[in-house]
Amino acid sequence: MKNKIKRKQSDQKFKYRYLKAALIIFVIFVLFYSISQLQRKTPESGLARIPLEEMLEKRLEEFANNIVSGGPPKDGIPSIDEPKYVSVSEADKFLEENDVVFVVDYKNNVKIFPQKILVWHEIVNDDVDGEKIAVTYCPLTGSAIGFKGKFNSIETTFGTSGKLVNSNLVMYDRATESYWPQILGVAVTGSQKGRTLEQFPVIWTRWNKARGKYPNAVVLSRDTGFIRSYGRDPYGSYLTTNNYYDSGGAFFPVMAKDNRLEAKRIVVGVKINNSELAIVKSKIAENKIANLFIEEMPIVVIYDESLDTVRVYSRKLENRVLNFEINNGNIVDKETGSEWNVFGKSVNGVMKSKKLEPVNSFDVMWFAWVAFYPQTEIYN
Amino acid sequence: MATIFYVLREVLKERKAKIIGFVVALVYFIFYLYSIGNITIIETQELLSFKVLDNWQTKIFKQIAPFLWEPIALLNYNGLALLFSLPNILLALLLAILVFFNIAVAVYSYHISKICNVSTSFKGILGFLPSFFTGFACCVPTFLIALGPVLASFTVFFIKLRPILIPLSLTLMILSIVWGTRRIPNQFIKTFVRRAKNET
Repeated sequence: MKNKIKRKQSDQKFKYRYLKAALIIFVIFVLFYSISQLQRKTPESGLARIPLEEMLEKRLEEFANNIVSGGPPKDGIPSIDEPKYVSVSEADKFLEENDVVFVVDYKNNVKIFPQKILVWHEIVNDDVDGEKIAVTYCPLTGSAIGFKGKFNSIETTFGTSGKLVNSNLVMYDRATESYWPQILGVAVTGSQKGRTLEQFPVIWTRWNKARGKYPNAVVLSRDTGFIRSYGRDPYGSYLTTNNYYDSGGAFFPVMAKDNRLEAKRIVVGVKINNSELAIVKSKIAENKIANLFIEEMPIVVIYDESLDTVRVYSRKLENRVLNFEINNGNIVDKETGSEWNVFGKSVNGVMKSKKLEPVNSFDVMWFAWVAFYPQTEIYN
Repeated sequence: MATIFYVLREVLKERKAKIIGFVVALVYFIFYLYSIGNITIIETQELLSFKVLDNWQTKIFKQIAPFLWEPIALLNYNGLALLFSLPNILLALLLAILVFFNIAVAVYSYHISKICNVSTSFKGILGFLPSFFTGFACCVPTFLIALGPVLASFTVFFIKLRPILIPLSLTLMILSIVWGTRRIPNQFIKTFVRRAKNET
């Protein structure tokens, strides 16, 4: 009997210790979390317009302070550094008609990057005619952007840092280890802080459209040097609705919120110097063309139906500002009546063979664009 | 501490405890690999295939998240795939062994409770739960994707918590085994020790 009581007491004592240990662990984590939250500053409102240099200094600090861990370590999401390509007919075996793909038409090389592969790698480091380039995709912000792998006479490749800012991929360059948020394209830490990467256009479209338009293109192969379940998208699907890609908010904290549009609405982001414009993609698909100004620069936004994409060009050509309209299904400038194609090239009339200067733009979820550029204007 | 080994030795002699423990541990093993994405469905036209990475030696111990390593081979049967990563399999095995002992001890305790008046508890088994939250889909914990982005700051908090989930699971399950064996009455333990000594 005595033994039984003793055993019971010992049991209770052990149980008490067990609970105490669990409680201590819990309290430590609550404390850790509270401190980290106190240290975080997440301004919810936009910033007033300030000169570029001042803005850069201040904003870069803010971006750097708002970098959070995404979970995986550096290169935990591995970039593809030795991409292999297959033909369109070969790729047709593993791509569905409406799969999202990213088209890079650079130096007369057309390459197609399936989203179902990039969702697992986020960065493809490639070489085009001896020039280093990186095709980048952030699934959390729905942004695909091309960057040249050369800055300040340094040639480099990029990797994933495992960090995020405004839910957006933070890349690092392997030469200087500086951090580059993808949407910003500007280094926010390291020796290259303040430097901007040169971009090139990446077209967001669907496989059936890209295949039809570029039958001779090459397509990124699933032979990436890594084993992933490429048919499965861990975040959701662009083929269905009511998942991460089209509803709800961000997974990670953002520096600014704006309810002018729904968080996941797809906009085409355009940035020129200190001005930003978000063009609602569905609106331009409806209107087909828009003559706009950004930072007093006249631009034309053209909906390219063949790829379901938006192309942006400067309207300034040889000291003259052109205004475009759709006339009998053709793009025509009002000044000379010349006909233009979606690539910004005049195909008929007095302007024949002239080319408009392309303006960098990319598709992105509204919440992410406005988190980086709270003062952005909207074309809706 | 030595008594734990005598108890576990006895537990392993109990057929029912062993079978139930094994079945639960096997189910746990499969679910764990599924939760970290190493058992998955893939798009393929092949019925049966096996592929090993050419440079598997350089990737076998490459960590892709805390307590998650790079798969180096893929076994596919009609779209059901096992992404093979040695460290992930070893960790899953270790966790499954602890689940096995937890269940076996609990079943054994339950068996004893029928013979004499001993209270039984299975709460300690829940120690395996944290290990299910360790799967990572690129940037976000897998289970948070399933729940949806309810609270952005919670994701950040959870990511800070993430590295301790596996050690927490291991600690809780080991403590649970120790606790479970201590609930077995003294007279039984004395018999176990005597039996073990006679056998040796």
